[in-house]
Amino acid sequence: MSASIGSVSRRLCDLSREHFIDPYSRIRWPESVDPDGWYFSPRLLSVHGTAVAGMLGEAGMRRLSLLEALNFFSLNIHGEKQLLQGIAARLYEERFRDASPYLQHFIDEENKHLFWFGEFCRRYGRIYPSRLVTLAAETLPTDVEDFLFFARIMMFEDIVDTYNSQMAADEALVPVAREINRLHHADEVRHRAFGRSLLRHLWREGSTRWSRSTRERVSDSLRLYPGVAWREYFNPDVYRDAGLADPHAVMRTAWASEEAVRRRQEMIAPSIKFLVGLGAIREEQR
Amino acid sequence: MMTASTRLMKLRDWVRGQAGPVDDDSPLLESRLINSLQLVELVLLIEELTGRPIRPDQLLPASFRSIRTIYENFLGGQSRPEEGA
Repeated sequence: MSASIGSVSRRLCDLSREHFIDPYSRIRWPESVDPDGWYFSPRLLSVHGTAVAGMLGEAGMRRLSLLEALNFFSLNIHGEKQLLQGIAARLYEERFRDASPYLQHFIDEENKHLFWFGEFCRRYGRIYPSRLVTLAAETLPTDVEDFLFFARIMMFEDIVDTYNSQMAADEALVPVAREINRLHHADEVRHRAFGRSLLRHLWREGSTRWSRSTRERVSDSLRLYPGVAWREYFNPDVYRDAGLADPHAVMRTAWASEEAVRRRQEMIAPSIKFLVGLGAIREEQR
Repeated sequence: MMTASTRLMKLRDWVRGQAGPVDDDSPLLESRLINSLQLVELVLLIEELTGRPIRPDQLLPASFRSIRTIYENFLGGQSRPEEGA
């Protein structure tokens, strides 16, 4: 039997206190950035494994790496702002009583990440806008909304952490870029563990009451989400800023490339496996 | 330079390729003819057709309600799209 959400929350609160840091003095921000440095691991760049990478050559890929780092941090800003709104709305709600102590740390740590991402983007480039359309909230029962919200967070964080963990270990990266990825990864390990524990709890508490059609809606929505979350990693604005002639054509080529399809499947596999294991995603949609 | 009617034709082709036989007033989002991933693709298509980014304050479900609203909001449509396509 899995640990209760209360005990998981208490244990993670202890760990968060142990690892508490001041985000505002933690990173030494260089006055400017060297445009020829690596800010994003080359094998993680969106055009890796495509003809565009060959066309850009190493110098072009280095310049693209700064732009893709800016895009990556921008997407984190957009995602974490939504995450903070959703968690703040649930904080102190009775149904989250046992989880609330850790939700407070969650908010604190996500705010720190936002600060680092925002500083990097504003100092060395810009915040790329998101193209996601916020769809009108569906009229779903609260427990279904809760489950979907935290399941999307888990998938968002799993994708982001794939990048963070690999770039934290990449010695070729410019120190400031590597450090942001390292610090983010260190917190996300706890957040991802909490997310899975909370989802097990929410599923156990709620799903037996859900109708078949509700379960199907949940499964369909979750199966679609990783694609939506990852789609904006392929950003025509980035390709335009990199001086590429037809940014939308580059985007289509990169998104549809074998390398991108393989990486997408690899990145989402842990989330999908977990959700199929719970029963939230139908086996045939795996 | 692509004309508004060419952009409309390309939009119709794309939407019908994704959602099947729909008319210009079919509610794309309300009826779930277009899903959230296809909606991102649609935003990118509109930007490509117009050569302009969509402003963040236009990224609302109401802007993408149907082919007609997309045409009027983004593709230079002044009034009703021509019939018969």
